[in-house]
Amino acid sequence: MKATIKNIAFALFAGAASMAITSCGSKSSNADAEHDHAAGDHAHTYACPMHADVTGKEGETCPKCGMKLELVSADKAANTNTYFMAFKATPAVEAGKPALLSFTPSIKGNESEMVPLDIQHDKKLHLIVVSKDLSYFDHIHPEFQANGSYDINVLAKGANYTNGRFHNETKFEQGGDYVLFADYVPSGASHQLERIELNVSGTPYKAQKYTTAKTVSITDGYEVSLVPEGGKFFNEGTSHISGIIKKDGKEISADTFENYLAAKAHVVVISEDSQNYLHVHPEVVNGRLDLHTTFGKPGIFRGWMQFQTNGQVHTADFVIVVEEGKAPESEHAAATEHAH
Amino acid sequence: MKTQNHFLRMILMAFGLLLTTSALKASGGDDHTHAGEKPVAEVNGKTYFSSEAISDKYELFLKYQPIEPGEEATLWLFISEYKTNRPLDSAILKITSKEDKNLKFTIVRIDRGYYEVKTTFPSTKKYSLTVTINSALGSDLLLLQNIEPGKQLVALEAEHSRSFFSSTLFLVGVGLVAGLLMMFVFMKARYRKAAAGFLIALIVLPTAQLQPAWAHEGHGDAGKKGNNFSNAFEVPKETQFLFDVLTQPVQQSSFTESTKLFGTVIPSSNGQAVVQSPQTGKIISLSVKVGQKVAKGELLATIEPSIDAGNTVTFLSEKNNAEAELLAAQKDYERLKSIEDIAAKKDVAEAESRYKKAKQNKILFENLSNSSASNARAIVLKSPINGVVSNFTFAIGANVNANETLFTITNLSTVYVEAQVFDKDADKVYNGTNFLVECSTTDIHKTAEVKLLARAQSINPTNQTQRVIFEMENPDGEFKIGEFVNVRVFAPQPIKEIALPNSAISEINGRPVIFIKDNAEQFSVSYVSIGQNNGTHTVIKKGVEEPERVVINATYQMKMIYLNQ
Repeated sequence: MKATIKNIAFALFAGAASMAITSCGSKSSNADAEHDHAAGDHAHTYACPMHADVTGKEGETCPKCGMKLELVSADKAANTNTYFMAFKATPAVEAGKPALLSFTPSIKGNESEMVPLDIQHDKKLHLIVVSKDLSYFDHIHPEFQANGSYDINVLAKGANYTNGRFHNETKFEQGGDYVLFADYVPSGASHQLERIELNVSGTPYKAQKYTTAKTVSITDGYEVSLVPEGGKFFNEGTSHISGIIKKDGKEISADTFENYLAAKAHVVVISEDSQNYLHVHPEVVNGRLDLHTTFGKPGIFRGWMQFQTNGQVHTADFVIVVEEGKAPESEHAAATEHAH
Repeated sequence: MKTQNHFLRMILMAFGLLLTTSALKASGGDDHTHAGEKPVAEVNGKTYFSSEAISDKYELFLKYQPIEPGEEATLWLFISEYKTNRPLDSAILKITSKEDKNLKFTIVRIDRGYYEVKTTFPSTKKYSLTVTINSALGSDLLLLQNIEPGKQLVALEAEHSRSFFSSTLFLVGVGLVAGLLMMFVFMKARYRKAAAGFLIALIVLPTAQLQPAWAHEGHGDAGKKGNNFSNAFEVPKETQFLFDVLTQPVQQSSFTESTKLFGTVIPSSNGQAVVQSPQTGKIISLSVKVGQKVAKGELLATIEPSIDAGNTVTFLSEKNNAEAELLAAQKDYERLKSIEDIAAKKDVAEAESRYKKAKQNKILFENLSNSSASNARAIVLKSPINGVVSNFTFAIGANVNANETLFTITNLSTVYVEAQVFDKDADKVYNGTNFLVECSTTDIHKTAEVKLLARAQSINPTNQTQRVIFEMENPDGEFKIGEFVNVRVFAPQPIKEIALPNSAISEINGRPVIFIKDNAEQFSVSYVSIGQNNGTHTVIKKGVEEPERVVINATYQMKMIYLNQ
């Protein structure tokens, strides 16, 4: 009898021991998941793909351009190279004359190194050309050449664009000062922006001065209005701006736009002194364009919105008067935050 | 003593049990090694390292086995067109490494888009390769990153060992042995309290050691494991090239909406004629064959009308009457002629005309009754239109009845298509500008443009459809009378939609799917909701977005690879 009890006790203990070990195994796998999750929150940084200085948590958006913050890989974070865009015009650009603009992404201190670029918005290099008075605007894409530079042709006055405007050619019909913004991402590095000043010889353009706001622009039969939340543009905080599109007097949905460079619309905003450059890709919310941006300083800004319908790119231009103050919190954003 | 013996027996039994389990495991040894490899394929999907780089033109994919620093390494480079996934041929390649400017690369072309790259990496650090490509597509510069010589496929081995140690059977075995040993020691020990404490420590300590070890390994796999539950699957680049897996970037484009109607080919108003026998008779000659082309007015056949007994009697008596009349008229005329001087001129003339008439009648009857001249009675049948003689079954000598259809002459150069249109499609049909007829089999081998001829005046009461007639030029006679066809009605204004070639869409579990190329070797299945199909393209309403790359060729192979993964 005693032996039987002992036997039972023996078996029970053995069983308990085996169960204890097995359960330890399963517990440890739970621990994995938690560990993994925790690591995701703390060890990795999320940054705006276009504004490397904007960092935050997963799921947050960039206050400058409204883009979702993306995970920054360890290699990218460890990349300490200083990039610059070497620029050369052959021959020197003269109004109405053909020329070739060459851009070569390079690393400071290691100029012979070839720098491959990542594709962003369908292109490796986006070049925004504006006259210094911000009356002229062009958005073009130099293409990679076998010699390692990204080139774009400047056409003579009167010459026809082979693929239409805003593609792989540009023109300088009038002389004067121009500013080029080269927008690119070297492979394995963060987003870069190079501001290049260019003087075009020849009769200079008559500089324009913008003082009054222009928030409604008509282009190719489309009427585009920028409506800031609260009715005014402020320099501080994220401004939420609606882009309303009308055609033949009727509001149309921005969803009907074709994708142009992997976005429904591109908005470039440049400050009057051409020092501040913003490139925003609005989202379409309820048929309207939804822009999020931070102006950073008060004053006059010029804005250009580009979108495509029926294979044709349309450009609407704006004059934005930014006042001193803080932009109101978005009701929309607040609502979504509550939902979370 | 007795208890001790009992314990020994118990221990022996337990060991015996354990041995059996391990024997079972050993016998499944081959199985086990296979199982050990299999998770490698399932969890990581790869038994090699890789690096990829893309641009708007090219997709580069570099594959390599673990590289030993200081030894010559062979890497495989796959170059394809980014948008189409077509292997790129005759590209001029130049590879450099920014980490080591002195690295020399030997590039040998193996096949289309498939290159062997040989080099010697001197040290164990991360390398990146800058690849300059020059081909018909244009120049490009891409960076292949994170090439780590000296790195082993550790994740795979960890997976292997983990699957063994974490198996429940193994843990139960360990537990059982531990329990038995501990119980044995416990029973033998004199200071049971101290022994108990020692035992508890024994149980707790190993778990504390095991836990972090597993947690660490688990961390590395966490991300990849997720793929098993998604629709993603791997297709090696070699396989893609072999099966000619081609892609197309999704793009909104003009899609001309079309509506399909079911129709039947019918003859046009003047396109068919029947030739009937005007009276009972016998076919005495046949001038055409089945299928022969005839012109309007061309002789088809001759019929000799047959005469029955009654008619014959009538005919004979008429003939006798005519003969008698001739005789009487002749006599009368001769008598009057002899007394011409005294007879009234009018009477002589009357008699003369009567005689002539009777003579003619006599000739007529003689002709009719003369069998050799029977052709005079024959009826000639001629073709009323240009066309082709349809099948007929009678032969020369056959008797035909009056109003019997002898020939059908069909002209296929213009035919009509009668289509049944449901009320909801009626507007589309009447507003449509282009109509296309195609045969209704799955293999569309003939099409023709048609024009709307007649709108429906009434609605078919049985199925509430409208009967609409289209006119079709059919010069080669491709479409036959009575053939079932589809009529596609194209909307006048094209609409903007995502449309993919029909070859991109296949079916899994009865639902339409497309395959999207996510990375160089990774694809995913996307269930889509499809819309209009205009014969070559289908509208995708949901399940794909611009500018994803969708497989448009070798979809069947992709489906098989996905289902067998």
